[in-house]
Amino acid sequence: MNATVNQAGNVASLEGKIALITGATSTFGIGRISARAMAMAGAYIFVTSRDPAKGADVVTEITADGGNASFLRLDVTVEEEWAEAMELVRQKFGKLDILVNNAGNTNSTPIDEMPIETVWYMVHLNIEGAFLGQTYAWPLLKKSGGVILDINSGAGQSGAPGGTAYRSSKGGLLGLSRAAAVDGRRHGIRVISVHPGLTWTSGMERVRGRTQYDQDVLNVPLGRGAESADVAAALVYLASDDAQHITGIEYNIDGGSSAR
Amino acid sequence: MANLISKTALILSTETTLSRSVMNELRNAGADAAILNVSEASEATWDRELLNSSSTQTGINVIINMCIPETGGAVGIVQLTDFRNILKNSYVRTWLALKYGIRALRASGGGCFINITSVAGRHGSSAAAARCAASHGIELMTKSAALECAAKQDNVRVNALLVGDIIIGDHEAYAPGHVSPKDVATAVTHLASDAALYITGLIMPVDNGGGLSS
Repeated sequence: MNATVNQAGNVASLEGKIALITGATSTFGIGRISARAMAMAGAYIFVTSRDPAKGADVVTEITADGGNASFLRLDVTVEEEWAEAMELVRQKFGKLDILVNNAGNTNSTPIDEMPIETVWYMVHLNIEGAFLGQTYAWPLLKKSGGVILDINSGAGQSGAPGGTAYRSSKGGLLGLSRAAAVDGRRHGIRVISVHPGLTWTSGMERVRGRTQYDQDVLNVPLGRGAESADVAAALVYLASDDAQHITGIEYNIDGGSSAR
Repeated sequence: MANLISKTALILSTETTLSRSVMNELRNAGADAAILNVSEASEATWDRELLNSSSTQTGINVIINMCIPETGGAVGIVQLTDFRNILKNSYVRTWLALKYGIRALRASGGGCFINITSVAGRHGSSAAAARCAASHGIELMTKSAALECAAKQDNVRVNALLVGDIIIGDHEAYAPGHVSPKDVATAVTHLASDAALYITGLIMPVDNGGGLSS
């Protein structure tokens, strides 16, 4: 697993910090790998998803690494579950330092073949899911001067055919992250929009498949796709005090794709 | 002055100072322009309303969709029901307007679709969680729709204007970020005309340089 190293040559530390990560149980997804990386950096991790069995696996992995974590069942689209999750965090630690809004899904149906229900599904999951996280974590983040990492996508920065529901939802999320960064300033809350490019994840395997993915990454300036560990290393840094002056930005982890 | 003679334009909006100003400017340029308010959010309603509008005329060449979202308040304060309602009335409504608007424009051999939304999502804005989310979502929706149409070579162009704070009434000078309805209407008329036939997927701020200072 990649470590992130600060200017003094030390690994960025999340010692003493409390983190909650949504969508953290996909087999080799960004959420799961980031949960392990943040735990190795010293943070206590609330691993959340809709799948308790997989959640138990992630907690076991983190414990085996020598880290500390527990699982919370959380469907990010359900407001009541956010309220309950944050109440549990409050009771256990009285604060939250890091919220990673990672849960999301994709779609690429042309507009004239897509039903309105798909648009709403993307709104509920990709925009409202993060909105609810921000909203319910806000009081706890205010106490600690915490950070929100909204996991967006390169797709949230550009249009493409088939993108009227998915890409626009990620664009909406980016607008929301910017609004939260502005509103967070006076509370000491940092908000960063994180944009992984082509990353080999469970979701990518399901949606694109290895052959198509290998073809796609030929267009990446660095000549390779990202692994979830590349993204996890960035998240550890962005969540740490090394990045305490960074807020309101788009952080691209894309091998140079957005530089063109 | 742009020339819109023999073009038919539909403004999807309630009656506002801005929508009337856009309608008047389109008419001044020679277009047959009308305001249509589709109040329901069902696909069947949009399909029927836009079909009716096309069949009663010679087809639609220009569609202007007003989609400036309400602000919604600050993150941490705004409630989900309010947030969702604003997205429904702007972002989701725009998707319906695009789906059935593009269909209507294709039926008349092509044309121009213009979203008019807020510049707030470009840089973030305080106490405007829903406006920033919805308007920046509409930016990406516009680009994706433009690229989908371009790939089909259907002669449909899709663009968006990002407007600053609309100031109603007579003013000699405007502060950065402030614009008059006439400023917006003039930009609409240009993009709708054949002078802009090569322009699609453009996201054009009309904000009197407001974005430069933030």
